[in-house]
Amino acid sequence: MAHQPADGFKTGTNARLPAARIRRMPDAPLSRTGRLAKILRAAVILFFLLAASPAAWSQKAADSSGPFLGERHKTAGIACSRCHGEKPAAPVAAGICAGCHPNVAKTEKIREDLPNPHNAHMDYPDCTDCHHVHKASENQCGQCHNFDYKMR
Amino acid sequence: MTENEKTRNKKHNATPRKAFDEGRRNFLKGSLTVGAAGLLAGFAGGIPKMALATTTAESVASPNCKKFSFDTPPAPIAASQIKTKKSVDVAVLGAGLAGLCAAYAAAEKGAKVVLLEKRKTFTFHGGWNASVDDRLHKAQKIHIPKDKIMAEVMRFSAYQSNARLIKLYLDECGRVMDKILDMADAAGVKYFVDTDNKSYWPYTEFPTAIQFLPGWNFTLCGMLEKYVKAKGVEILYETPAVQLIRKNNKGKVTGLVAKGSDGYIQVNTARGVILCTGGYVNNREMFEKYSPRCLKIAGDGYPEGSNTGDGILMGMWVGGIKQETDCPMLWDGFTAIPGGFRNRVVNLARQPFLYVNLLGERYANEDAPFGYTANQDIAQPGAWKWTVWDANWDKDKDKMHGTVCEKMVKTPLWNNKAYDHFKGKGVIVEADTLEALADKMQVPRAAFVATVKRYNELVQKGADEDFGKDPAKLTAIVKPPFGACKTGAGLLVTMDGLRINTDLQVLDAESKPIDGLYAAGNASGDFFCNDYPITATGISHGRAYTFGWLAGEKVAALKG
Repeated sequence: MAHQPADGFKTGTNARLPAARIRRMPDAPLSRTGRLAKILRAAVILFFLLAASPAAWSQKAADSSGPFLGERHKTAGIACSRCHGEKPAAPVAAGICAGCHPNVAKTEKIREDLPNPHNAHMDYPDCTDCHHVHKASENQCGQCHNFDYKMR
Repeated sequence: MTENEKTRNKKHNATPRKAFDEGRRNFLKGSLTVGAAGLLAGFAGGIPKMALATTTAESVASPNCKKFSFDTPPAPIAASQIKTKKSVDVAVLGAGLAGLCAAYAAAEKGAKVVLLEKRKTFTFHGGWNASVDDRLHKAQKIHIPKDKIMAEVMRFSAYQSNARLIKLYLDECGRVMDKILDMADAAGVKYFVDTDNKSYWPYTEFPTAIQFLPGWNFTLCGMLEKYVKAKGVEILYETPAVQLIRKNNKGKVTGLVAKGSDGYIQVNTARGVILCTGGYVNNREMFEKYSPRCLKIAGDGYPEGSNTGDGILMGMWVGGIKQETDCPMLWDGFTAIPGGFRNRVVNLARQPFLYVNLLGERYANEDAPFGYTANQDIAQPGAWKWTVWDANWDKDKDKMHGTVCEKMVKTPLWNNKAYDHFKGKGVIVEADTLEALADKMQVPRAAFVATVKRYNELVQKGADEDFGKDPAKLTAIVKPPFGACKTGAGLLVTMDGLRINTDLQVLDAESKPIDGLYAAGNASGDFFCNDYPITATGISHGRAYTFGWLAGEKVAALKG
């Protein structure tokens, strides 16, 4: 029922999320061989990834909202292993986003003119419920509300 | 004994629905307590075994004998504990739609007003605000006969409502809405009348509701808050009122005590206190005493921490009386997500496809106002239902256009992405045969297959001879893969509050008004009983803004 009239009302600014504050997580010190092995392994993995899927890093979101989060993280110099650990295909542990984005969920204002989706009345506890990393993100609020959050 | 009766008897002593007494994720923790009976029930793999028993007779009956923590008024807070004092004309408790309107209207009349709110910010819900005969409806030539709205509210309440309060609302809401629309115009806030209404024998919706854009009542309440501040009203957030002051529970209410961050604050009110603290959806103990139906809910729509019944209880502690009947605003479609996330709604499951209970049987006309549907759902074994569709769901859903709010399902608000999301979470199950689907649903195969067969017959006939559903919403379940989603009723708000008269004054046991004490919105009562008349779309918010405004005006007009 929540439909806006067909012509729609354009309101408010599409305020962007404040730039994520990327903080380096303390890495455990490694021996020289350990470090070498790690670099080698990452290189091999990267090679196979690129060979297997040349378009993997250039894929754009279908709604042309920009590159997927994965690519943006890579552009910012964050290695796959930061989230995935040693195995690129390994599922990411819940809560890992908060390591670098600790306060987004409750405190930051997203839009002046719309409720804060990060303090919603419905239960979407995982960042990845909405923010996908390797495919286009989804606005779960949109299942009921016509709130046009700019998804990242 | 039929197959179904056997199943029913076998599972009869299993888990009743748990409600609020545990944190939302405690599903994982292995056991739970149910009501006063304290029944223990096991869980398998974090998912409650889907029991067929509804809340047992004991767990519902015992509250009547039980002493509740709020039955005894707390001892008055000693003068020595009061850190600060302030004197105002009017104190409004609760910064929701009613409270913001009350504070603004009182301040506009020249009163010195303080608005106290326990949360960090104002509270808002939903987005439909019912009004008749306001300038927007008039400009669009939408005339809604008042007697039709009166009839709807009285019918839903089985004539337990106070018709004079409904008349008051109908007579005043247009005037108040005009003021709000003027405020919106000045603030550049857009709005429109929702005319997307429909009718069939169980319901006739009226285009009463006005929506504010873009953020629904976030926009409306945010705008009101700015106006309230501009009028010079002092808003004290994170400052819950805890007691009203009425000496020996006789005479006038002269103020209140609130709990601020630095200790207790005494607010002396020369003219009056207006209770706008909402209902009691976040107070499980009050469910047990006043609305045992609510113990069967699968989820809560607004768990933000307000609506704990504070104003209703404070009013009763100084002699006020709550209306006798309950009136929860139940909703349908709350998920049973493995892992226990309780506050998710699957809108597709709220569409009037085929509904079956845990016995695999169809049980009602699926196409009813959501309060009716929710009542049917909680009356089923275990208080769960399965909504069933086939591979054509994406096309079929556009025929549904259920009653208010359920039409949210129309694209683009609900689509394959949302479907896949819930499938990925295991909330929607799919199978290529009805038998396999029955297994995934954990319902008896034979009964379920027979139910679908019968339903498809009715679709063929183009007439629901069993429960009278609108033929336009009969869609066949023939094309694999078949899908299903299990949901239960959820609770949005409660609307049964303190008895008031048409001056918005709280009444005592002898139906006499308590001097200096007023109530509006969901903290007030005698307007809604049994169920929410959703056909008068947005009338709960309608009562809130209208009665809040009227209370503010009336109290401000008193002599201090």
